Parts: sequence; C-alpha cells; structure tokens
Amino acid sequence: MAKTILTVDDSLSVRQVLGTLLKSAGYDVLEACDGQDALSKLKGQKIHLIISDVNMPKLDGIGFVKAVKQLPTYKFTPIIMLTTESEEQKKREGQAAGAKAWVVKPFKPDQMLGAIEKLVLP
Amino acid sequence: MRSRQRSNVTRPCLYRSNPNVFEGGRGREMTRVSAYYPFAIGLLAGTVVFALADGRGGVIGVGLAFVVIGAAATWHATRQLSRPERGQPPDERRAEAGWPDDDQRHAGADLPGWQHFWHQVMPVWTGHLRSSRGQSEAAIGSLTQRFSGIVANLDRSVAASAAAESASSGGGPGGHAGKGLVDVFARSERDLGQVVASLTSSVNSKAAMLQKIQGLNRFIRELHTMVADVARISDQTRLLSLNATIEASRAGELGRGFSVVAGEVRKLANLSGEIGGRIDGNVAVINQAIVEACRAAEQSVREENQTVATSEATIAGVLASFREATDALVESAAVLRNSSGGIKAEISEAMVQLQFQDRVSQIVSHLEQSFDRFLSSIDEQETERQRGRGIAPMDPAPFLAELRKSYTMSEERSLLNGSAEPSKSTGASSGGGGDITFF
Repeated sequence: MAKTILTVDDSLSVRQVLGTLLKSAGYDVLEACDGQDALSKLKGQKIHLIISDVNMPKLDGIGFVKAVKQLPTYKFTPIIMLTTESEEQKKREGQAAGAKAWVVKPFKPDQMLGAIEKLVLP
Repeated sequence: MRSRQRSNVTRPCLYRSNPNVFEGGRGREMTRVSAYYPFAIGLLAGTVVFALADGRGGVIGVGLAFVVIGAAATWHATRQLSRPERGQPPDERRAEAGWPDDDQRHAGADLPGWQHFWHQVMPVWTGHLRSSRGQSEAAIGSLTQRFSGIVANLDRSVAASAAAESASSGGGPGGHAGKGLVDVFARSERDLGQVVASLTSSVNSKAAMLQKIQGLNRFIRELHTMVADVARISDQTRLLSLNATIEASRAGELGRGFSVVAGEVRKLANLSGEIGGRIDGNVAVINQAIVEACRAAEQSVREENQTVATSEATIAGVLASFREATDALVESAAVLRNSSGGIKAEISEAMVQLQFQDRVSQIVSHLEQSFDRFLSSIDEQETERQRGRGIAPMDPAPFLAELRKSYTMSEERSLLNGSAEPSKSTGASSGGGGDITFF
C-alpha cells in the first residue's frame, strides 16, 4: 500500500512540483496551503510523512510542527521542513519544534526523495 | 536610530544625498538631488529582479518596469522643479496656490508635498509589484498544473506501454502470462502445426492404403498363374480323356464303360477350362479396377501432398508476417515507453526549475513590505515636522535591518551586505538550494 505524504506550502507551484515528484515516486499526496489548513487535513488520515514550508500565512511552519507534535496520532510522524530559509537559528528552531530534516529551496528531486525514503515510517 | 537635530534647523534629510548641499545649499537644490531617488530606487529594484531573472522574460519585464517607473518619476520630479525656474508665479499667487516659500521649503515644509507624492506613487508601484507577483504566481501555478497533467498522462502512457510490451513479450513481472502476443503467436503456430500434421497424417494413411492396394497386384498375378495352370490341367485332362476314349474304342465292347467315363472326364475338363477362362476374365476386370483405383489414389495423394505443402508454406508465411508485426509492436512499445519516460523526466526537471517563482515571489513581497515601511517613515517624518520637532535625517540602518529581518534567502542577505553577488540562477541547480540537514 502506498505511503501518504502531506505537503504544506502557500505556494501553489511548489505544492504541484512536490505532488508530481512524489506521485511519480509512488506516494499518495495530500496538499495544504498553510499550517492551519494542514492541521484540519490531518484528521482522519494516516499520514506517513509531512513536508512543510516555514513562512506561511495563518500558521507558520514552526508553529505547525509544534502543533503536530502535540497530537498523539502524529507525535512520531517525521516532518521535513522545506524552505528558502537557510539561517542556522531558524534550523535550530525547526529542530527544537520536532522537525527531522531541513531542506533549503530549491530542492533537488533526488535528494528530496532520498530524504523521504530515509525518514518515512514503514 | 534616528538622531535628533537642533530644533532650529529642520532638515528634509529623507532626500538628502550630499551633505554639502544640505549644509550650505538651498532647499531647491536638495530637492533637485532627491528627485533622482525614484530613479535610483527603481534602478536598484530592477537590478535585484534582473539578477534573479536568469533570462526569464516575465521577470525581466518586471525589473524593466521598475527602472522605467523610477525614471518616469524622476523625469516628472525634475520637470516640476524646472518649471518655477523658467517662470515662477508671483509670490501672492504662489501663496494662494499653497506653494511653500523658500524659507518654508528650507525648513522642510516641502515634506507634505513629497508625502503626498509618495502616497500617490508608492501604492501604484506596490500595486504593480503585487499584480506582477499575482500574475506570475497564477501563470506558474497554471504552468505547473499543466505540466503535472502532462506528467500524469505520460505516466499512464508509460504504464500502458509497459503492459503492452510485457503482454507482447509473453508476460513477465507484472505482465499477464499466457495473454501476450508472443504466447498467442506460439499457440497459433502450435495449433496450425497440428492442422498440417493432421493433413500429412491423412495423406500418409492414404499412401499406405495405396501401397496395400498396389500389393493386391501380386495376388492378381498369382491368380492369373493359377488360372493358366487350371487351363493347362484342363487341356491335359481333356487330352487324356480323348486318349482314353480312343483306347476304350479299341477295347471294343469291354471298353464301352471306360469310354463313358472318358467322355465325362472330357466334359469336366471342358467345364474346368471354361471356369478357368471366366476366372481369368474376372481377374482381368479386378486387375483393371485395381489399377484404376491405384491411379486415382496416386493422383489424390499427389494432390494432397501438394495441398499440404501449400498449406505449410501459407501458414509459415502468415506466421512470419505475424511474428514481424509482433516484433514491430514490441519494439514500438519499447520505444514509446522509453520516449515517454524521457519526456516525463524532462518535464519533471522543468517543473523543479519552476521553483524560482516561489523565490521571486518572496523577494517581491519583501520589496512590497519595504515600500510600505518607506511610506510609514515619511508619515513619521511629517508627524515630527507638524509637531515642530524638526526633521531628523532618516537613518537607513533600522530600515535596512527591518528589511534584513524579512529576508529568508542567502542571496537577499548577500545582496544587502554587498558581500557577494546574488545568485544568477534561481533554479534547483543554483548554489544554496537543495542543502539538506538531518536532525
């Protein structure tokens, strides 16, 4: 059975690029346009991995990761932060929030798929 | 932060570029210098966008728009400034029109005018930026959606092609064993081979029967021999009976009975001779019938052999054509699959390159925020002026610090620091992108 990945980004093009890449690799993909939207889409779903942007309206990526880690169902779900932000301070914030990896945009497909394969839960 | 100046000196330092002009010059001179700021800002914004455009027409257009708008604003400002030099209205008319006099301008009283100017112009610039960003987002979004659709279609084509190829090659991983063209071909070849074998077997059976019929000739010949023997025995018996009759007549009365016997023997000999003759006639008829039957059977066997040979050749031809078509189909399926896979990979790579839109959008939104901050600064200056506190020179440090705070990309920070050239590419292959840190 295909693993399901939730992509969270306010940029439609990034979501579509990710969606196309992940579907081609055999994953099922859910999309959300910000942290708040993503939290609502987590309900009743079995998500194996989350890829989230950092700078988003309504609820940013760091806040979203913190909120996800409060949910018992998704406490151990790996989260990859995908952002243009490359400052170490931001990365530390992401790590403290519970993210498992930090990918600086623009991502390279092979690297992204490698990271997903490494982190996705069985 | 903003440094407070002496209260009796109001300085429209927001537009100041040359300390000498500020300290010793007139307000008009300061304003003339500051009139070039729109062009400078437009040029700066345009340069930033050019640097990030990486040859993309739409983005270059946005950069060009910045430069043109800045140049137009500067031209307008310098034109406005030059008019009074050519023919200023009298002081009373200037006062009626609300023009600041030289002292007022010198005291920074032209700030409301500039405030008005910026409040008119800046929202237009910001609107253009927002519109460009929106159009860019919508266009790239639509583009990626179409690419995504093409990739999905190609996925389906590749899957169908792979299935066809798998089926054509007789199954395999994921294929349907026994339903492939090659399997159909092999089964057809086998079935048709069985038909030909049946025909051949039938012909062989007929040939064997023909041989058996031809074997009857030997019996015919034996029958002829036997008939000849019977005829010869009959002749000799008749001759003997004749001799016996002669000898019986010599014996006279004593030989009369023997003569009767000899006569009967002669009759029997004649009868057996006749029967032998009839047998010989019948054997000749049978022989003729067998010869004709054999001839007909031989003709039939020859024709059937010819038919079998023709059938075999036809079947071989049909199977060869079928094999050729199957091989071509398998080859074309493989070519289609490979081509589709290649196109899909190219489009996927192109889609990845479209990530530039997200980065450009962020840069433009940072510019928008900066423009808003610029307007707020002017408003703050005007408030200070209205409170009679004088206008302090605008300190770029906090302004730039705020701009830096909004930055997310290393290219933006490098540009602001002037420490490095901004990345010439915003694609996935550019430096800085794609770095992965695992926690």
